[in-house]
Amino acid sequence: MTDFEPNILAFCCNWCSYAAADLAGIGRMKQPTNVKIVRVMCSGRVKPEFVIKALADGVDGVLILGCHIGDCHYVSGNHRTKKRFEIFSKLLGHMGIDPRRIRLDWASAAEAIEFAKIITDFTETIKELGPNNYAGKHERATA
Amino acid sequence: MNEQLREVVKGLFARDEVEVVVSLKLNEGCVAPHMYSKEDDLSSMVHSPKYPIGIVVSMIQKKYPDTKIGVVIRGCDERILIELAKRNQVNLDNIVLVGIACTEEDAKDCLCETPFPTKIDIGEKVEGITTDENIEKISQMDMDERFDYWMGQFDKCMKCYGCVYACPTCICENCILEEDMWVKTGELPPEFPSFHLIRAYHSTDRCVDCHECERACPAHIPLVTLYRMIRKDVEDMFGYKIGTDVNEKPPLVTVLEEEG
Repeated sequence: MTDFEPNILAFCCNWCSYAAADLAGIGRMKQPTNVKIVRVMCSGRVKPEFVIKALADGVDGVLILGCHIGDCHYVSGNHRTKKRFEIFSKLLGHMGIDPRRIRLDWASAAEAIEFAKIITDFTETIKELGPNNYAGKHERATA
Repeated sequence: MNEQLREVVKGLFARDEVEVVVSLKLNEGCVAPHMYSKEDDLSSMVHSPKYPIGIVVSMIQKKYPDTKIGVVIRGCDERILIELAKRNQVNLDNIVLVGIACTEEDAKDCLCETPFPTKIDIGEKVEGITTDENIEKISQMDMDERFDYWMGQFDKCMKCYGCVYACPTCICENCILEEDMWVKTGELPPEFPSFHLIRAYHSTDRCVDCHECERACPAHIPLVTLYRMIRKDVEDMFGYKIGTDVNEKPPLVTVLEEEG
């Protein structure tokens, strides 16, 4: 799987992790280019449906990045995200979809290094897991 | 047991505790929910089969918010009413409950963990069933086997939306599963994995284990197995037991404890 380049979607919150992405860019930090960022106002905006849609459309991994707990611009937006995604990844596991394909993490506006590390780590994980072929597997399972 | 039920209801009317009683009515061999008033003949009132009477109560209360209603309930109906009350669909202050304990066959049929309401008026309490072979089977599978198992099941889905409409705690007026954005219209079986994954996620903090979805499903998909697995996780992670305490907020709408 050395030549596999994953397609990763990252939801970044406007106030912390998007700013961290910005800072990582300005700081010219080295990071994989597999990640496409979608800016949302708060990580609490990310419904699990968004993730389901991304997986259904063939995205290999989904990252959700927000402010650290306690630093949310909207006070408790990321509390909800945390609870939601803990449950959601359990549910993915029960249905046989590898929960490692989604990850929830925090990066503050100053943590450009952390941000680059999360991106690198996650890309490595997805490279190990291989491409998202659930739709193809579905056809095989039901053929 | 029907006789006993009628006696209890007669007692409620006699003491003027309620104005109407919602129960099931046997009419020409068919059973349907019915609202009995004081003058009505109670001889057609029956307690079986199971029927999620909570939705009916919520409809009646929206039209007559101040009426005192007696409701004949089983264990699952009580959980339904509590979950609906949390979501402002019913007002428990105007409801008097008449509790029926399920028989052992009923409990086995549903694999019900608590086949009795908190206050039992009729019937004997039987122990709940806590083992589910299907769950044990699935938890021993690896990821690929699980995926194949569920996809084999979900492939039978004909998107009749029976599980959605039968669910007594599905209360959204505009269902996300009917939006083309998330579940494509006119495609069978529903594409991977949107329909069932979204529905399972939505039922995490509200599934009361009443088995109405499975009873409604024409393809016999073991939906309850999946919902039970996730209910168990909600219980373990947040200590939240669905349908027990009306003042307990669902965990997905509250903040984390350490931050208050």
